[in-house]
Amino acid sequence: MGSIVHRFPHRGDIISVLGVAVFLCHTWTTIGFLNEFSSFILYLTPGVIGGIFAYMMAFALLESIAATAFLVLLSAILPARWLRDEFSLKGFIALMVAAAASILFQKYLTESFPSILVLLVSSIVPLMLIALLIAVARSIPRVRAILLNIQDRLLIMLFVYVPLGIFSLLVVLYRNLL
Amino acid sequence: MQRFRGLSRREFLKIISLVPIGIHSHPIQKLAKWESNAGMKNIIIIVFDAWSQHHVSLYGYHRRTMPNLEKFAENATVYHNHYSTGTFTVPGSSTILTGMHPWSHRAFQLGAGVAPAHANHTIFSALSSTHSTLGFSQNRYADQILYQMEHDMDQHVQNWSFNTQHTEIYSNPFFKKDLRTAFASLEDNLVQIGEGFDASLFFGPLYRLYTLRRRRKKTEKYGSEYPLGLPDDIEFYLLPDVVDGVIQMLKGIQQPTVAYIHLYPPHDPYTPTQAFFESFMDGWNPPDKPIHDLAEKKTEPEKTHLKRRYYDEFLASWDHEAARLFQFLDDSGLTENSYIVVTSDHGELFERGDVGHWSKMIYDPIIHVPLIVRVPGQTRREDVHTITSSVDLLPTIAHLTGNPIPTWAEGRLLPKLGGEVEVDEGRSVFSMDAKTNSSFYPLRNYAMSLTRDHHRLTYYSYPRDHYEKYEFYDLDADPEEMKDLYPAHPSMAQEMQEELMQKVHDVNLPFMKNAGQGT
Repeated sequence: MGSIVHRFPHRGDIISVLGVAVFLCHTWTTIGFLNEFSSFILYLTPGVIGGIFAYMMAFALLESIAATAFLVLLSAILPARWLRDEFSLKGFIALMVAAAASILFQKYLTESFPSILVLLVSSIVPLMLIALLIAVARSIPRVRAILLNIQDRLLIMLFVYVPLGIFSLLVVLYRNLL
Repeated sequence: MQRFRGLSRREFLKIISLVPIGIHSHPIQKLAKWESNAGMKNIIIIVFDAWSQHHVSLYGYHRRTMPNLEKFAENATVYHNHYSTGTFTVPGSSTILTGMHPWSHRAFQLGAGVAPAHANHTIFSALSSTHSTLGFSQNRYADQILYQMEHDMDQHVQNWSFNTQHTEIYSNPFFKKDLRTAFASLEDNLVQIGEGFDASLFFGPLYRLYTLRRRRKKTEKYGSEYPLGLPDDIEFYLLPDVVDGVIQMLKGIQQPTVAYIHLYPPHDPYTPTQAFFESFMDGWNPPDKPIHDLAEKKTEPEKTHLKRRYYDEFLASWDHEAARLFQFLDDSGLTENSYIVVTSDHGELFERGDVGHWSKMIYDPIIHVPLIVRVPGQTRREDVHTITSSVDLLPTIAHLTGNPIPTWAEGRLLPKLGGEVEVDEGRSVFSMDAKTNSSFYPLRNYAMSLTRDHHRLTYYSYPRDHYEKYEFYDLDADPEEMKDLYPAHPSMAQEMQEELMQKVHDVNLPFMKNAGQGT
């Protein structure tokens, strides 16, 4: 057990990546909520709209944790050089690319299961892009510094979104269990 | 006098053992009530979604779309001028369930429910003292309305029960206590199907992949039977499964029951079975009508004609399956001890640039719906040409079951079922669309039609689209509503305009206090 834990990235790096995941998931979910808000106000009371927002924020929190946990587990499985070393930077790049790919990929997921070609392209291209961006960031110190700087600034959102997500989770539990 | 010496352990246990029975005494009382009402007739309301009277051979459509319905109607009362109050499921089915016009129940938008003040004003509450109550809707938006009314329902059959695919997250038992909010946030937002972005960044696309993979498997399994794809109500279903499910459900009812059964076919996508695909390639097309300014998609006539043909073929496919349901009603004896109502929540439009019913336009095919009522033991067909409205169903059913007509009900008794034909001659019936209007504020963005004496006046008020117009048609001389008579200002149009505007004024009054705050 100790050896597995030893393979995990440093706690500080994990929190940095969690900060990015929380920012991405909550921001995207909030945009989705705002897209529907104009129709919600036509027929839902503020209390119900608040309930819907709570569900969405709770879901975003769980999704951020799951995304971070996935990267942490991956870093423990893959060779350390691939992901665990400089986990903060690599995790940041991986999440940003995955988020962009996810948004673009949705367009092809409407009517029918995508073709093998689309599946391959949508999984290989992001992986290649991640590898390329990591290589660029490592070879050009200025790019690396900019990315880490952005990531550092995103961390502040943890103090907004995580309490909001936890509160929302409690609301959802309260509404369903009590 | 004996002094009370407390309870012995045995006495205490005896009393304690009665507590669960005490808690459940209410259902037992109900059971006893139903037992004492066992001689009363069932009410079985069968709603086919998006079913326009214009496409039904029973009503004179030249394509033989529904021969089995014709057979069922041989021993039933057929209403020829029946209109829905709404142009899509939410307002239309809310009216059937509450007996109120949309301006009263306020369920205007997709996803909306009836106003909380009216959640207790339902067909179930009206009959719950005499009947067991059962609700089922394959349409998940109508099902959301049933959830609102669940407290008056003894049995609520889940909307996915007869589907061949089941992937909805909100149906997880965890969300049982808060199902409507879970639906609005999870199913209608975080994870979507088809067009639109999921509000969930990573899980959404993964879940789409999962559901699409399952849909592909189902298509591989059953696709040969449905050349245009499997019937789809967000989840795939098969026509025979739905009929089998309903038959099983009806086998389990306890007399007397009021059952609301809302079936998805012939709602789009129109997916005829192999047996009926291309069965109406007769080269016939209805007259082309100009694209309306309010048409959402401005669909070309060729595509509109093709969709109309698919709709007709799907209708024929559905009729072929529904025949087993009609036969079961006969064989099981339910036609002997039940009032059976077959109708629709709204119609379907294939003209002026719109296909389907997600339209701001109000023309006859979208509001003129079938209504067939079979009275217990009826052995001959009767035809009623008096104008009727979907708002009439609830008071009529209350009347037929000997219950008082609820004070909130806004309709009249249907002719031949308590109502008088003569009284209803010259009656005005209203239909409306207000999907972009707030439920909490007066009507401003809406369309409303008034049908009376074979004439129709429609008022379009969509200030957000900068569109305001009256249209007036003589339905006898111009059943296709091609020639707008309003510009000539006939006196009848003026009279109907006054009536319609007075109605709008009256229904807006209770909401005027909010008027300054928004629309």
